[in-house]
Amino acid sequence: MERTISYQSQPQKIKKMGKNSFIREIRKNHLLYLLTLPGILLIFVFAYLPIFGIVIAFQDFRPIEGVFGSPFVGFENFRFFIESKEVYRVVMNTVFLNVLFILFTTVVSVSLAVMFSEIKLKKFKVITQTLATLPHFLSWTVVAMIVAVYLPYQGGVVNQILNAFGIESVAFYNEAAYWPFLLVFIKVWHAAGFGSIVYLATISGINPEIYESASMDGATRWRKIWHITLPLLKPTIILLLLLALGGIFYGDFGMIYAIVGKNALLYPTTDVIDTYVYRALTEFSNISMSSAIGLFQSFVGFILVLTVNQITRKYSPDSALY
Amino acid sequence: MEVKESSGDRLLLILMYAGIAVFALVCLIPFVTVLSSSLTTESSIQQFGFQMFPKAFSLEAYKLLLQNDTIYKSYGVTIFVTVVGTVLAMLVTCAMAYPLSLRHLKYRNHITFYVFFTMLFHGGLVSSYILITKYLGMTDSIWVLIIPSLLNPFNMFLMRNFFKSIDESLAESAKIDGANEIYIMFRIMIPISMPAIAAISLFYALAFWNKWFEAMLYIRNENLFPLQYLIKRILDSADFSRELAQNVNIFEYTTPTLTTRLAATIVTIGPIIFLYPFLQKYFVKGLLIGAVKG
Amino acid sequence: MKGKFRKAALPVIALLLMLSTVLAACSSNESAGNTNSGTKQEESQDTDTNAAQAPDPATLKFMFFGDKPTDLDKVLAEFEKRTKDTLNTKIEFDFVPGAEFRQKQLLAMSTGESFDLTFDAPWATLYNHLSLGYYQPLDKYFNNDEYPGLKNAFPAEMMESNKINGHIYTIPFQTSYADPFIIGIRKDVREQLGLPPVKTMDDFKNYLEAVKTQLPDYVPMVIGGRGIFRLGLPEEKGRNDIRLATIKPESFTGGIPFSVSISPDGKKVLGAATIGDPESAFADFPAPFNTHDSIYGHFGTRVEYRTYTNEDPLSKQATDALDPIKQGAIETTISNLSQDRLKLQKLKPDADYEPFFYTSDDIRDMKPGAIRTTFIANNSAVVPASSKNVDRTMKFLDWMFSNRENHALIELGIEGEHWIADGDSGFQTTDKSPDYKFPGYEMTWNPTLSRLNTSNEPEVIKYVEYAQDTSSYYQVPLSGFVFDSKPVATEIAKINPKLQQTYDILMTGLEPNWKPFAEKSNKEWRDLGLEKVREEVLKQVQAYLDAGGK
Repeated sequence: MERTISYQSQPQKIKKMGKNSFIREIRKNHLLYLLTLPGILLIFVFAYLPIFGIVIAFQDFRPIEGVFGSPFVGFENFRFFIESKEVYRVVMNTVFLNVLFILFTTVVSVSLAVMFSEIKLKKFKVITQTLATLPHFLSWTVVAMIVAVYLPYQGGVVNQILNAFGIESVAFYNEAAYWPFLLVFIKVWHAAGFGSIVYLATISGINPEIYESASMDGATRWRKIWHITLPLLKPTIILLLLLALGGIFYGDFGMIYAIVGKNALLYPTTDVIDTYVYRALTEFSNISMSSAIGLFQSFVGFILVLTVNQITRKYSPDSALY
Repeated sequence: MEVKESSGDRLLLILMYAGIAVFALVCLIPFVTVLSSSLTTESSIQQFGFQMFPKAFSLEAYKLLLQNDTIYKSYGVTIFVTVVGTVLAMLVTCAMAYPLSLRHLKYRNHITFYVFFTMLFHGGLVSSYILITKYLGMTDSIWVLIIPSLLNPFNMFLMRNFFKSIDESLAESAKIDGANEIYIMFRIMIPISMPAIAAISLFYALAFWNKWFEAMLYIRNENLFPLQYLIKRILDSADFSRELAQNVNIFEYTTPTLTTRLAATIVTIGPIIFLYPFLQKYFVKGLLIGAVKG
Repeated sequence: MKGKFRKAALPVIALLLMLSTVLAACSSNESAGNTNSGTKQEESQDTDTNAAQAPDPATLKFMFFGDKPTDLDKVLAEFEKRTKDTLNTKIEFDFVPGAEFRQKQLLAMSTGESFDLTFDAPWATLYNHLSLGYYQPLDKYFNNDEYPGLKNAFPAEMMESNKINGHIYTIPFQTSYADPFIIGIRKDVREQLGLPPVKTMDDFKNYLEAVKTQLPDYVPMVIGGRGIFRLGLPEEKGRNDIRLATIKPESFTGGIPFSVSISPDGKKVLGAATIGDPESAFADFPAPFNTHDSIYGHFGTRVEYRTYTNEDPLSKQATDALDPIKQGAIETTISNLSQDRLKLQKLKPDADYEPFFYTSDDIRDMKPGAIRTTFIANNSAVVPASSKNVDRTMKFLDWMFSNRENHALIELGIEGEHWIADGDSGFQTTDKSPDYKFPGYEMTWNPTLSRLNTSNEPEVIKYVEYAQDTSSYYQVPLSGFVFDSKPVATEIAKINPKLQQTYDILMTGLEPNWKPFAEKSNKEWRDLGLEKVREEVLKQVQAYLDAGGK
């Protein structure tokens, strides 16, 4: 609490002391600022220099004339998306699927990390940890091929199992209702094992004396997990959630396009902003309209992160992004 | 000194073993399917689909894939990019993350925001392409695969959080002993953050290993193709030929076989998988006890 | 809280402003530099094309999609050897994988990178890119005695039908205007079922029904996302008062399949109607096309055939996973049939396909004037606006199209190695042929110069020859009309995803109540701006007619 207060009183100080304080601060911590310099320069060159490209979203971009010669058209490029009746559904799908993805992968990743840190059998640990990361290495194209082993109506593994129990085959590829569940399952399978590494590293960094003294007090395994491990994981969890929040308006195009593809029957639940825009613009290669959507997605994500970050600062300053 | 486990603890542990075993199995089965399907013949896969155990064993796909010289060169490129890239990226990332983790650094939030902003807003492909090809002249240079990716904000924030979780008194006491900040970072902070260093290095290594987009845009010289790009070309051309067939009848467009595509997957992920067991020794609870006390 | 955001954001914004001014300055410098080097280049290339004297050396850059032929360098070396004294040109081919081609081509053009020849086609991005000014007009190179090769290989009437807005932009490549669509019936399965050869749609249905009932683990007819592609499509053969767009690929109006009717004297546009429009929209159409179902009723036929097709046709992975042996019929084309047969026989040596001409009996019987066309080439090359070497590029093409020998070197490779001649106009493949597979559709195909692969079966060769004969075709009205989608780009971008969705379901016959479904979708398109597109279509067609178009 105290830290927050002292931080908040700083702006006034800066105003009073102006330039002097800036120079004094740099002089005082010159080595620290020097350390950040390579990163600052890299970002400047590769992220800020090309950022002028954002104006393309407001232009009728004509490649021959380039960024500097193309006429400005205001918000015209946003119209095709905003005015479309589909926007509501597509945005809802994007956010809904992303929330499910984030929620379930985080829960499974954290659980896996906790379990991996508790088990003792070394060989078992090495093998299972490696296996858990395997799916992450399979590209979505390959995942889509694997999914097609399980789900087809004719000859799909799942339907063979269902038939063996006397249940009729399910046409998964023709029925949208199953897909939020299926996609979440695939996503968790693909990401959770690899995602647990961050949490595992955090747990490994926890001072073991804390656990020892808890054991002395007779704490059960469950209580140690609940009262020591999870609270210490909190900053990492919150940081990752915050960063994920920024991308919540970005649909996972790679995944959904590879697995669902151009299956119109599944659009009601699987069509996200990115796949929709892809379909809308694919025949026209309209750079301006696609950058307009990108900007829209970034902007909403940005506002969300700013808001949630402020809230976080209030309640858990250590976990905040900045 | 072992404290005796209660039966409740024991049960929880057994449940954990079971949970992990199930998850590992769910991860393993599809992977084995891919592996054994890559070891079978094309006709067998067409007829019987993917198989857990190859019905007809064949190394044809691997032979086809590995007879091409380019793949060995691209392995070399990828290894170079991964090793050099990861080392440099860790230096840049830690150098930025450490100062930003210090509460007394006045402008740390400005810098943080400066970095965070780029996670969401970018100028798009056209302007980056102009910058890199016209102004930086990095076309057909192996460094285009490395330099632009040396600082990943996501990884930097994670690293910063790890540094943040370290007791500040450690650095303070070193400071009193007269050590400067750079010394503190390399000699104190990094050694006691080995789990984090291992994890973030793994992330970087994977990102460099998987680089293909930059290669697609900026590399024309076949000798500089990284592995993933080479493989992606193989994987994509099958999808593409199908889309092409929707529009026009071009009967000479050859497509790689399904087995080749699967073999390509195995060839690309093989080596990087071995990195993980190697780094795993850092992901052990209680690892840092010596470092902290020492 | 707000204050802090501002505090952090202000320096960033200031930085951005600063940057953009710096960059603006940079770029103006750069463009000045560019023009300089450009003129220099032009000077060096603007040499006398005196045949006796070799021109200055030039390097041309071509960007195409596909795999680089293995022996390309060998062939290019031979080309350079042969033309050192006449063309003195080096060619750098950039073969981009198909999946990346569009993006790389677009980036190269948007950033003014100089390259000299690339692929584009009506089915790809040709019209769209043209309206953005990406390509150079090439009128002066054709029908010009300075380019005798081009004049000879591209007759005036052929170039006339490939004109866009009255100008030549493309170098058209084709050996024929169409490759007839057929259904490959499994001969062995048919014989096993004791059925006669499939000749009519009724035979076809009987066959599918027999497969369905007697071979339950077979899929009678395997389809993908576009269904049985040309099933039941009506044609406007012999008419000059209507142009049909029965399916999306037939659309000539920005991807929305509007059928357009014009007055019998060809002076006035009467109406434009599309899938799901109310009957009133078809009232002005000439009989028998004056009802919705007379043009779009084929979607109903697709529903009828749905019972014979695979369960989940819209998932390409699920379709791929089907066992190729247990398929009663597939869709293919005449020239693809032998490849399909080879693939099948690898799995089951005694299996075979036989062709069923489901689109038209006239094509089966090789009658003249049977195949529908606009006489616009399916594939073509274009010269990007950024190219500074147009003359040299066209000189090269002129050389290549000047005789069979030059042409075959590029299209087929080195004679005796990659191919051997069979008569004047045929060739046979060799075991080295796979080392030089040049994508002819991107640079070489030509009806007078391309040699015919006589290694094919006689049956196929007969049909290929038939398809190469111009008299096998009839031309549809409004053949030369090109829709400029720019004025309604937003509307089309709004309608397109929705239309595509409906269309895929209609094409595969997945919706039994197809008509109410189409009507409902049509209403949704109207909400998204269909009427505006329709108005634009009518306006542009009328303008085309007023300018003397047919």
